[in-house]
Amino acid sequence: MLQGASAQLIKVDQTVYGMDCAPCAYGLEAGLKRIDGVANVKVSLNEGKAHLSLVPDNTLTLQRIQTEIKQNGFSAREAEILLQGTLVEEPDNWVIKNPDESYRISEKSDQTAFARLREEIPGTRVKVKGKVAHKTGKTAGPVWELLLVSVE
Amino acid sequence: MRRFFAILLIVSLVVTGTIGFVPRASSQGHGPLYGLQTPTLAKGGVDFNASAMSLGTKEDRSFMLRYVWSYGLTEDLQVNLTTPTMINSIAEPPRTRGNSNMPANGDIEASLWYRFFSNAFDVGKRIESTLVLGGSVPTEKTRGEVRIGNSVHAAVSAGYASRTWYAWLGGGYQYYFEKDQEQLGDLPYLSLVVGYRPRTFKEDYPKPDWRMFIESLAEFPGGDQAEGLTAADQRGKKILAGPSLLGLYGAWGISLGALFPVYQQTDPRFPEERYRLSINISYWL
Repeated sequence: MLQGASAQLIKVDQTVYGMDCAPCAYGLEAGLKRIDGVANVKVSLNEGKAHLSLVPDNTLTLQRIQTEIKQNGFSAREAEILLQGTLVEEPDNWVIKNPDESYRISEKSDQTAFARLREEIPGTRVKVKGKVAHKTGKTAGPVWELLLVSVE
Repeated sequence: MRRFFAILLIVSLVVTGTIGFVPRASSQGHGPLYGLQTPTLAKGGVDFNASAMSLGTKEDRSFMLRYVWSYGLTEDLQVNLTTPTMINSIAEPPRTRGNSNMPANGDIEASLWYRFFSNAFDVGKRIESTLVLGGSVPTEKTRGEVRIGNSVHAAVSAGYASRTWYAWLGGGYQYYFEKDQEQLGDLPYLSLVVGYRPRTFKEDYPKPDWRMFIESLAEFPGGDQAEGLTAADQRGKKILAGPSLLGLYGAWGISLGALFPVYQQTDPRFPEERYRLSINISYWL
């Protein structure tokens, strides 16, 4: 068990399916704003997205955001995230972890970005941008596969 | 008619204003005015509706205000309670439901909506099915000279929602229990609604959101049973259709619409219907 690794969400652009009207967006926006750690929310009906900016030092998980979406009656799909955390090299994976949630870097990631990440020394803090694929039911979280897009 | 809209406005402002609600909670879609629909509130969501309805016959017209409180137990399970204020009753009112979630008469009704199927399969798109179970107690002693008992109501609806098109198909049944050896006729009914949001109204949230519906109802009221009353030997048949409009902005919604008979063959005791009018104001807490 690796210790001392931590991750923190900075921005989340969450795709939401099934949201068709203004009260849907209003309700979802209000619900997301009430979550501890959320600084700002903008919901777009036409894009089917919830754009979240999070406060520094939050402990918010992607799972918590997706639960709120489900409780509003919609389906949370893929998410684009900006994540900051301590890089950990496991035997077969590169992982960014926090106490409640982990992001395993996918082999299908952008190879340039992945190579750039592997140049980092394990144990250092990194800021990465990536996509988290849609998972359903009991398979959603706490280990997410992160399709790395870039290393900031 | 002016009185109809003035009373609704006053009641809705008084109720929402004096209690001092601050919009905060989640909400979920809002559908047609008359037909059965499928959306349920978010978990913990609260919704208040104030509605004014009028039904006109060849001889008379009724006015009624109705209030509905709804609460989302989960995102798929919603409880509702609706109470009436009758302003003007018709001597022989037709057997009908009122708005999609309300009786058209002086009954107090509690209901449970269970969205037993939901598939959000794309941006803005979902299909879903909802079961409605309810029961009512009357606030009047008689209706059309027949004593009123309690009633049970069940309905099921299925629908499609998107950013452009909506459609719902549903059917329901209301059964009145006997009261002092008299009994109001039952009411099987069907509803079909098609909705459309023109490109003009597809601007993104938080801009106002409007859509229009063509709504239709088919009702098959059974005959009443009472001493000295010749019960109709067959079910009445009535088909109504008409437009409605729904506007949504933030925590507020307003619906207004009308239904007109396309075909009616009912007990001669009941005067022919001419129209049904309704306006509904929603507020999501």
